[in-house]
Amino acid sequence: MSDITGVKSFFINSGKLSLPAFLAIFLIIIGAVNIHIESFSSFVPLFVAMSVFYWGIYVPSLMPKWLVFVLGIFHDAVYGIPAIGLSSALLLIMWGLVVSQQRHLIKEPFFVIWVMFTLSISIYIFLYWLIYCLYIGNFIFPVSVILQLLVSVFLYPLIHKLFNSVHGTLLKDM
Amino acid sequence: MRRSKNNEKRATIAQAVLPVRAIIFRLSLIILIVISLALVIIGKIDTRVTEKIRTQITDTIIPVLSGLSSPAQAYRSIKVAIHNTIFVFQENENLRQENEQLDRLKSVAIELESENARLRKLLHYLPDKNVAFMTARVVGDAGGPYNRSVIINSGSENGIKNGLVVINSQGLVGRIYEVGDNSARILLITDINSRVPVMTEVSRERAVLTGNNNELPRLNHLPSDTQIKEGDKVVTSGDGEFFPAGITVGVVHTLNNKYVSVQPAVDWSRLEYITIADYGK
Repeated sequence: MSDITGVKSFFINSGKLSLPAFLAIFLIIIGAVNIHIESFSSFVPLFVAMSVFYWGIYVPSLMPKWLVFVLGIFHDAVYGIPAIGLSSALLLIMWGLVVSQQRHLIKEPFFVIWVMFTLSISIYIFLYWLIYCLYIGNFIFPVSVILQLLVSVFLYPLIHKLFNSVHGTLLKDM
Repeated sequence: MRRSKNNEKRATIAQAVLPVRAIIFRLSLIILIVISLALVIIGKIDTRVTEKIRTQITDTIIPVLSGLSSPAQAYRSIKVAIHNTIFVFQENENLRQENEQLDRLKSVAIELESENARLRKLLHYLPDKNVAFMTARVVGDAGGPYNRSVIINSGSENGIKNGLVVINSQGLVGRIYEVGDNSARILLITDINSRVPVMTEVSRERAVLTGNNNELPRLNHLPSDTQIKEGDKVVTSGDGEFFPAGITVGVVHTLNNKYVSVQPAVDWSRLEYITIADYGK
């Protein structure tokens, strides 16, 4: 009997522990669904960066660096990015910076977190755009890149709230 | 006494291990960043490696993408049905007029067809290979600001091959550029890497339609004494034999000293079912 309970709790705990990863994967796929809105895909928010940023601050143990690496590869593959691995590299840098400041950031109010996210995502998107332009040897007009930045920044509070509720209900003991 | 000594020993070991753990932490992060950048470079040198990763992942997520795109498709179908019901009388009148026009064109087409057949016989013309058509559903609109591509729910198992031409009822969509077992990716004509040899339908001026990742791709390599006008219809020229001649591409949208842009005939927001044409090339 205790064995069955042990196995059950093992699966429940494993499910809980992999929740941030599955949520991030699900959000990446959601961003790639054909929803018949013209040009929507060109400024679809960077859900992957939001996931790495949030979990990096609040439960870094559930967003380890190898997972950040895998999510970056997955993101590039789903969005058909020729420079596969570029998201991983930049997300890992972002993750490293967030985790190094985690002790201070975790105490900060939401507004500060939002400002920090805006700063991090701006640097991330700018570096991505710059490296990608160099990679393909062509200039990409940055309008949709800026739009993607704005959509990501304005949508972050909503995603933060979603992650907060998951964190507060399903992962409260983590 | 012994226990406290052991505790002291453990504390000393833990203190000694702490910087090592920090070094390992940083080193593993650096190693992962280096691997990521190495993948970027490998992808530039040999695209097959990264292509394989992309197609494998796309094949895996295609059932999820298909499932998630169904509600959006159902919503669109309902919207179209409501619109059709409201405008049914107007639509009927339009169709009646169109039918009359088509009747007139039909007799002209029959005459031209027989004339064409006679001329081909005189010239000992070798006909083109039969074209095979396949239909697929667009399930993923995965581009981001960096590329313009869509994912379809058919792959090599359905006969899809790299380089096949993709069209819909409105005109040229793009071409297949990545094929998995049950998914494929289409490079749209608006993508920055897309190049399509085109010509204007009436004046027959040739150019290359170059994508720029926005809605209005541009015409490059136009002759200096170009007679092109806004509203001119642009079709594929068939040069390079990648795209067959005569497929509608769009109309000339903007014409100025710096560039000529084209409004594609395809409405990207309504890209739902597409036709893949295998010209056997």
